Amino acid sequence: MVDGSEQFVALVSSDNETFNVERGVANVSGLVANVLEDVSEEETTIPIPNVESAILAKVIEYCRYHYHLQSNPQSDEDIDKWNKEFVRVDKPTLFHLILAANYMDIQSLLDLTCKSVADMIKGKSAEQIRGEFGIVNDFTPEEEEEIRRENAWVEDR
Amino acid sequence: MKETKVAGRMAAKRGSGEHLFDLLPDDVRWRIFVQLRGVDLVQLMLVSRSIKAITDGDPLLWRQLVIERWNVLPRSQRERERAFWRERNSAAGKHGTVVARLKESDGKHVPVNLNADTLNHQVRDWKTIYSSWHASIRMPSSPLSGQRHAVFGKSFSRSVAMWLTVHPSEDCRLQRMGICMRVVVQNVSCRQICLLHRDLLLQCREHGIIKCDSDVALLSVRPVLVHRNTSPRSHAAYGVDESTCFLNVHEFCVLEVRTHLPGRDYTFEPDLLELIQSVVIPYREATEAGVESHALVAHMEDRRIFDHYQLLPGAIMGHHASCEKYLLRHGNARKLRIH
Repeated sequence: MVDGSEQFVALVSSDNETFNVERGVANVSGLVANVLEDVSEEETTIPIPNVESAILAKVIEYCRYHYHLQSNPQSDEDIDKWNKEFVRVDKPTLFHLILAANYMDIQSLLDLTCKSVADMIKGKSAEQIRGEFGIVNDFTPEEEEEIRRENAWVEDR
Repeated sequence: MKETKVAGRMAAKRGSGEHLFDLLPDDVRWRIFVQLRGVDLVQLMLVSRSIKAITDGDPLLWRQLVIERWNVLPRSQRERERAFWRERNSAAGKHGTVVARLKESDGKHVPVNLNADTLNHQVRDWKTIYSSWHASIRMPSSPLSGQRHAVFGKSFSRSVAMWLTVHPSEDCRLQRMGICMRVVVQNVSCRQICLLHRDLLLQCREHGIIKCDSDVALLSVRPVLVHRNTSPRSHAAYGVDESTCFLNVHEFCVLEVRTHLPGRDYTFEPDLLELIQSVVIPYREATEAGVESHALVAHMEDRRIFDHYQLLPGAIMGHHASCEKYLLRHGNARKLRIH
């Protein structure tokens, strides 16, 4: 639970920026929770070497919101609205958030960001997906035709 | 500012032919791709060589899609669930009906069969299984749906698939409540749909259009096996009431429709089935343009009705699925089998 006497821990990003966060907020991350269990109480600085400050700031924003939901519950619709707004970022940031969630073991954030990427793919043509993610088509026209032929069952329905 | 730095570095990577998906470890990519439909995966395959290598070369990904779409379970999981139910039933000292067990299961999967061939992904190509089941519009499995249920009609649109089945009475005679049809509806679109099951219509010869409303019961909604972070279902956004059924991608529901057509005395179920021409089910889908209303129509295949019924001694009828059991019980199987 959130209370006034909360301890703080310092999370240090890969570019050496320090974020002081409440212990409970930091514990949303499985990685941080495990580290805090293993180190002495005096040790409150935890390096997060794989995550840059800009991404770490976003991750902390996510953890803080979801941690405070325990003491300040909100409706599912409000949470969904907040989550949707949270993942409305540029694609490199979204992919780095996925990596950070995976590294820091935050399953709900990993679910949210992966679903967001999956939603960007669903119902789109190959051309639209390339445009969405800035991917260059490296197939020859013959190869592309061959793949389309092999997978013609998709077009049948 | 800092986000721009990340974006700038990624732009430089794109210049070298790398893309964002290359950043992700295999297990994370799996997490994303497994949320897609087969159709999306094929489009993804056409994007670039490296993505094709990931999507095409992973039989387990297609296997998972087969499990998700048709709600079939590998044997190991099936046995675990059987043991669960055995233990539970013996502990409670009861043998619940399928529907009672479904209610009790609270959305947990109840086992269904995958045959031995299908299970062996070393031998069979899961993508081939997916494509052939997709092409044949195979019904998803559950205790109330699946291959052992005779299909009297089916329909498939870009968003919804529907199968018409019957839950026959023991002697196939019409009961006071009429015939018990079971309509299986699956969401095959890429987004959530809202099924207006209370507005289901039957189009009948002689009787025209019949609105079923209170005669339609929602028996079950099958959840998909892998947890998905689905958004909450807002009835207000779709302009529907609380009783409306929402289906996420690949979810399906079984509706029970009890109908008795007035006018004539019908003795057997097929007599009445012959009069039903089609079943219409309206649904709503939220697109970028707003909420769109659609309806899916499945026509009864008249010529198939009597494929599923047999005439038994004593002027009684049997549903094909239960006939074998009935004839064997009465020792007349060989003599009376009708071809």
